[in-house]
Amino acid sequence: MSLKITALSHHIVDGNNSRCLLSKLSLAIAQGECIALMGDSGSGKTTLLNLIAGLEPIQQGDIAVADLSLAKASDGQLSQLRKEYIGIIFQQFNLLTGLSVQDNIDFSAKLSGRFQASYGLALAKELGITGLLAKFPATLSGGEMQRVAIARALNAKPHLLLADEPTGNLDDTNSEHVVSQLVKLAKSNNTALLMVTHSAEVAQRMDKVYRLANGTLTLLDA
Amino acid sequence: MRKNLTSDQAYMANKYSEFFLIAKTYAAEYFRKPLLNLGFIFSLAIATSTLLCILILNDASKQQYQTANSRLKSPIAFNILPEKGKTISINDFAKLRELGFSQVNAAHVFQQSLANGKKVSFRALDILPFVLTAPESFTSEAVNISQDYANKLGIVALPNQKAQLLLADQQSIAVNINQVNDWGQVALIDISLAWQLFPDINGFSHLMVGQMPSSEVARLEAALPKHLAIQEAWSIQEREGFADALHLNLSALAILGFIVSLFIAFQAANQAWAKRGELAAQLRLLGIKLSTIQKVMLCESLILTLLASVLGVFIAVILVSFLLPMLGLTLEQLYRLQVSGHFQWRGEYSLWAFLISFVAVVAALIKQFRQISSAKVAFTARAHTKPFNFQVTGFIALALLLVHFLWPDDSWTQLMLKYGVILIASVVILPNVLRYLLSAMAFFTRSFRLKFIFQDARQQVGRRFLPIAAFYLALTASIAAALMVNSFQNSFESYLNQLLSADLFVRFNHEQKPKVAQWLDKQTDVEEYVLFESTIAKYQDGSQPSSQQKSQQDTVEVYRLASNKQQQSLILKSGAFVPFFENKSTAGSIAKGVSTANNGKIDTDNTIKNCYINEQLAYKRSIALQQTIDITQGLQGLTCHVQGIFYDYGNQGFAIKIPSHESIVALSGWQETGFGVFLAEHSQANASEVKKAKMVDELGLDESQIYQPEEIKALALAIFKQTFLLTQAIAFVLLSIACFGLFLSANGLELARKSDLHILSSLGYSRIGLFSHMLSQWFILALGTILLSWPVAIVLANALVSLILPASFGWSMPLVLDVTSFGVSSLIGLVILIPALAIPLYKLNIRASLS
Repeated sequence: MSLKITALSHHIVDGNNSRCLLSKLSLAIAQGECIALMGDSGSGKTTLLNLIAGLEPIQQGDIAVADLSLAKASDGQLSQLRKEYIGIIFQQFNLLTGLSVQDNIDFSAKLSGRFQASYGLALAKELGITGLLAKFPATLSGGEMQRVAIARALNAKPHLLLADEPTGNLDDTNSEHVVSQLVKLAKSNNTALLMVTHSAEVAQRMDKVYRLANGTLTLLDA
Repeated sequence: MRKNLTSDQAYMANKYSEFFLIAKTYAAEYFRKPLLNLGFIFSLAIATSTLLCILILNDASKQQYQTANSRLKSPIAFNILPEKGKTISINDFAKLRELGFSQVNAAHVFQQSLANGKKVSFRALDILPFVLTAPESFTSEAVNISQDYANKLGIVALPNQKAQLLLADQQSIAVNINQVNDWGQVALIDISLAWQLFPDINGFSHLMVGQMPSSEVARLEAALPKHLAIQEAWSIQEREGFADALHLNLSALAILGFIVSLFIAFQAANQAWAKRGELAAQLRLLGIKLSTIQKVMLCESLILTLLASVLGVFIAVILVSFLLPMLGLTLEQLYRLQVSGHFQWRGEYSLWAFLISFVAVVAALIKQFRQISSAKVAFTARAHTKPFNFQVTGFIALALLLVHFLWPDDSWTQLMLKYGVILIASVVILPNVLRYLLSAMAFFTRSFRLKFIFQDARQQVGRRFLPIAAFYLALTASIAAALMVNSFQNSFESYLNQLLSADLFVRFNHEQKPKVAQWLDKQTDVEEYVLFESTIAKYQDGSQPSSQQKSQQDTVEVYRLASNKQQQSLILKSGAFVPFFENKSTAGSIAKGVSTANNGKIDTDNTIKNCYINEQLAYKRSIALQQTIDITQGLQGLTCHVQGIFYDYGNQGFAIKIPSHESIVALSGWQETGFGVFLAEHSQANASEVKKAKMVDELGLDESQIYQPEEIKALALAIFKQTFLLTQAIAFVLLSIACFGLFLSANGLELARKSDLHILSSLGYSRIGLFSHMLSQWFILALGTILLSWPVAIVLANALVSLILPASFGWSMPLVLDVTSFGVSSLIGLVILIPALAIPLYKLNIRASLS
């Protein structure tokens, strides 16, 4: 199992009011499985991703990524987890502006110690960005930047890929193209994918679709 | 997995590659944007250079004052003088040498007229020691004259010809012109050559005695013939006190400058690291350990500081080469010494500047580390900054104020620290002051736009705090410096008025004195004339001294105040003038204090006189008004009652002034300086000038014997202004660099608000509207800053002149609050500030335009 969430609860404090965002939530994602997470704004989707990535402390329950209990993990272990086991794709791309596209793609792979030049090139070819390798992020379009971000995340061969509305900044054509490639590559790498999205079209391409509402997850019909 | 994560081997394998990968990422930002952090490097370089410049100037002034003081300090412990009208014979001198007093050296001071009508002062002594130690400057075969004095006398050395001194009797004397100014306006001549050239010189005018143990002094005193007496030498010149005060003033300014520079360095670093916050957040998201990011940022800061230091040293060298000659000129005018070339560059200066800047940079870095580590790094990958905590700063300010009140004030260094704390407290309270001020302004404003400016500015106080604080510090330092200089100037003028109260001063020799007095008696427009005389004595409080106390007695200069006008010229710090006739009435009953007793008791004048003591004596020996003190000279002396304490600015020593119509015979060794002539009030405007000309004509006095105090005052004030030019120059440099810091930070600060400005622009704000909105906000903040800086500057300046000066030197001065000091400094601050802010805002405005 790539990800196992057990009875996870999370509260947020807004002024003097405390609100339950996640309530005894449980979920399991197997290797190579692609999951879409939908829900209204403020339902707790991004918080759930933050918790899985070890960016927020777990209040109640547990999350296990590659058998590591995040509730008990140290800050160093959480950093190493993000570096070696989890890949993240951001809505705002978060490419390192000082580095070229090539260096950005290689960055996470080098960090995790799984760098293979040929694999990076193959990914770039697959995503259609070989012509951009020498360029810098500031000169790319939104769709190109998102494809570079996907290549960077996948190049490290993560066990779990977290994507927070990766198509939020893209038009429909670009969006469809990027998602289909992402799913294809995740499957071929046997990487588990958890993607937050508002788009029903995007969600349809996933193995399972969950809806987060009132702190609980509901499996929707595919 | 757990095993993998805790495996040391795997961890170590990645550790170094991770560091270099992150370092490469950080470096890549510079390759991509070569101008990244250029503003930071410049800010830091400017701060470093100012810091370095102040350090160097302060150190240079310390070095040079020490040199000047050591050169001013006379090697002569005391002189032996003959009774009035008598000289010291060769026999007297030989006898003392025979008795083993090798420290005794003979000298003769006399004047001669030159063919060009000018008079030359000779000092004849054994010149051999000077010839041996400085053969390039002195010779025993000619008259030794400094270049300055030679110019004054009109001696010109023609090419390939030796300079000559042509006397009124057409006698020609060879002259050796040197660059040694230590002896002042005097021609040095070997005593044997003087006897040979001027056969009418008999014996010596005085004997100079070097340092010797007190037992030897007593033996010498006993061995002196009756017509000779010991006269204490007053070796340290009065103006040295002003020089020390200048140095203290410079030190105080250096501390303020130090704080301003640190602030600018800190805020520049803070901005630079804030820019790095987003990259750090991204890297943390990608799994980079915080410690790795911190290490890379530390290395980056080290390299940037090093670069800034190199640039800073370069700027500092330029600044110092401009300001140091000013210091040299000041010293030359104060001491007539050429010491400005003695300063040496030291390698430590650069190290100090680097270390201090690095401390400021690392302090900002630590703040950023805390922010990165505590910030909620989420999927947005933006490090969230904490809002400015006004409550905490308010509490810190109150705590600092409490520290200020509890801080001891027993030495000048403690006082400096005590008032440094109050300055820091005022910086910490500044955001609260501005916030409440802007709230009040918004509350009382009806105009929607103006209200929005105040409200928006109120929101920006926290963000803009550091650059505003730097500006505030520089402005406060500048106003405090202006107030100090103003107070010094006023005090100096009062001091000159005190010293030069008469309309004319007339010097005379023994033959001329009765003739001058007789002439003055006949003048109807002369209201009165007084004899200026003083002597050196020892002070002790009322109790009988033990032998140990006796050796530790203080030397005091005793002056006689011969008239009510002379008495009224004193500026009393406390006490009151006694009606002059009171002392006159006792004068009639003055018991002639003659040194007769040899039973070890002091034979004092049996009438207690009234006297005024200088502040130094009162402060350092804790003498209060109405206290009785004894003034002694060996076994003779008098007792006096302290009626007033007068300001004696810049004097290092102790002084007592006794009002008395008649000569004070209880003390001897009176040196007559000359007559002070007070003209009738209704005399014409140029009366003193007319009188001077008349005296030259009718009495045959030399022009150099008659002084017009106004001329001396004008000259002294000109020198004074030069003295404080350096202080003012540093204050201006401080203000300029603070504004430069503002210029650089305004760029970054306002760029960070670009999204807000876009909103305003989209809501209909025109380009000029946005520009004026932003500029007026800064302007209001600057005005609020000025409002706080005024009272704080007064507190600081007052602490320096009335607390730190007395604790350090024993003399104080009243603080003179002059509107010009506030106005000019604040105006200069605003004038430099406006373009410093307008340029980045204008640039920003263009970028903010939706077009």
